[in-house]
Amino acid sequence: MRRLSPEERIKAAAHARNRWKKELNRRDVLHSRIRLEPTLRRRIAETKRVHLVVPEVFGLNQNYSESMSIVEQLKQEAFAKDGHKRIFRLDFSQVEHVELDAFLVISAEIDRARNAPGIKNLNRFSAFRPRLWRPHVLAYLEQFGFFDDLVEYSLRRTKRRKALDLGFATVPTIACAGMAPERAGQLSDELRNVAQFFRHPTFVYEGLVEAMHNTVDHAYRDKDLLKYSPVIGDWWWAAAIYLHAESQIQVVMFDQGAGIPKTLPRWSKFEAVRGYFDGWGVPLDDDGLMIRAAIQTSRTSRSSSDGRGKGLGQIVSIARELDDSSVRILSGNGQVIYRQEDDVEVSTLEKHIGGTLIEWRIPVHRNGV
Amino acid sequence: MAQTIKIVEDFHPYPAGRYPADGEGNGTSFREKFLVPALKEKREVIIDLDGAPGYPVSFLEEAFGGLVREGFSPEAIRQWIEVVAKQPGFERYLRHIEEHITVAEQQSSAKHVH
Repeated sequence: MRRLSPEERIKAAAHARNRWKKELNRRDVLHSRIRLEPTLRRRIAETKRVHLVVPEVFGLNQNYSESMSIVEQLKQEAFAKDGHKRIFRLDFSQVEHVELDAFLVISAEIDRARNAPGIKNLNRFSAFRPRLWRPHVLAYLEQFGFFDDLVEYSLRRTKRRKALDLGFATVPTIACAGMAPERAGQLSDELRNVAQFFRHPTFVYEGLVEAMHNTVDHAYRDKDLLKYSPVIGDWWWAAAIYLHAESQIQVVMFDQGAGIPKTLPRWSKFEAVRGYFDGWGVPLDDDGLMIRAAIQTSRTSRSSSDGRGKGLGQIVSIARELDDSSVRILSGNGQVIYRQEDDVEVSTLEKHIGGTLIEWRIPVHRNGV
Repeated sequence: MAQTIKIVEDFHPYPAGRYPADGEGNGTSFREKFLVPALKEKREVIIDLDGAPGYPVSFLEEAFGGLVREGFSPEAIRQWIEVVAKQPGFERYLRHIEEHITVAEQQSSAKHVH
């Protein structure tokens, strides 16, 4: 063990003394509060602390299972019916990489845990030892507005991340209820500000509007299909990022509804969906294939007599019209990645995503194509 | 002289949705406010699409396909309503509108046959 120099010993002693004084002060304050407010001790004892350790790679693309485990743990604790208040301590200290999809899902779940009927004001969220988090992770979360309303955060922000080359620009998270096309319009406008060569904001606007249409029309309609109660109103969350190195824009939207596979049987075009399954010769129980059949039906079948049912087709239309773009839909236990007409990947997810997530990936070409 | 209606200025800056419940910029309201009166009065109108953040399919289908469902013939729609778009990337909407009118017509003739 290295022997400390006299200056270092003085410094260490001063540091220890400060810590000791701070602790004494904290106890004094607490005890005086307990004297003034006799129920406080009981309330403190009744408050449960939940430590959530976010995995090294927090993303639904690269690490779906571990990322969703944390989200599921959060939901189970937040909705536990034991009457305890909870303080969730979010620990991102191990995180090396965050993806927008997982970020948006956890933000939406925190939002719900703070505002859903029955559990409102029971749950609080705070950042656990943020000084140990990687600067680029902290900056990522901060830019999306994670610490604005959702999570309490005490580190002095001015000290952080000077001249950090982040390699991305963000459009902060939008949380909105019902049809709000002006918010979709603002998001697509802001994308043009963060990525000046972006030439396709109309696709983002149209995709978001049709996605919110689906949310309003189907996602929350049948409350019996929902495992956890949603915030009142047809809520959805969206955010976008421009990744410089990839020259790519990612736009993600999430709702906490029942998911496309569960709501399909009530769709006016369900017979056409069933027809695809008959053609494929598989039983009607695969979420990924259900989403794929719904997209195909929306795109190719004749409209119903009132012209409805084309929304999903428009959500994926960008993948057909723009080279190198893709649309990923995660809903229930299924995932579909739509690249081109004949390049569609379908898979089953190990865990339910708790709603529907749509991700658009759009290239940004400097030549303006 | 034909009246020009610029959607973002004369109707709504964010056209979207099908029915009034979907917001003020919905397709039904646009159709009832601008397209139906022009067709009833046999008055020529030019619909200018430029300047909007985009045109979701639900808006276009309800505005133009909805005309056929209200009983206007595709010929009359094409005769009295001219849709223009000069903005790059907006020409696809002209194609979409034409498709919505055609599909709505096929749909309504199929309904009459049955």
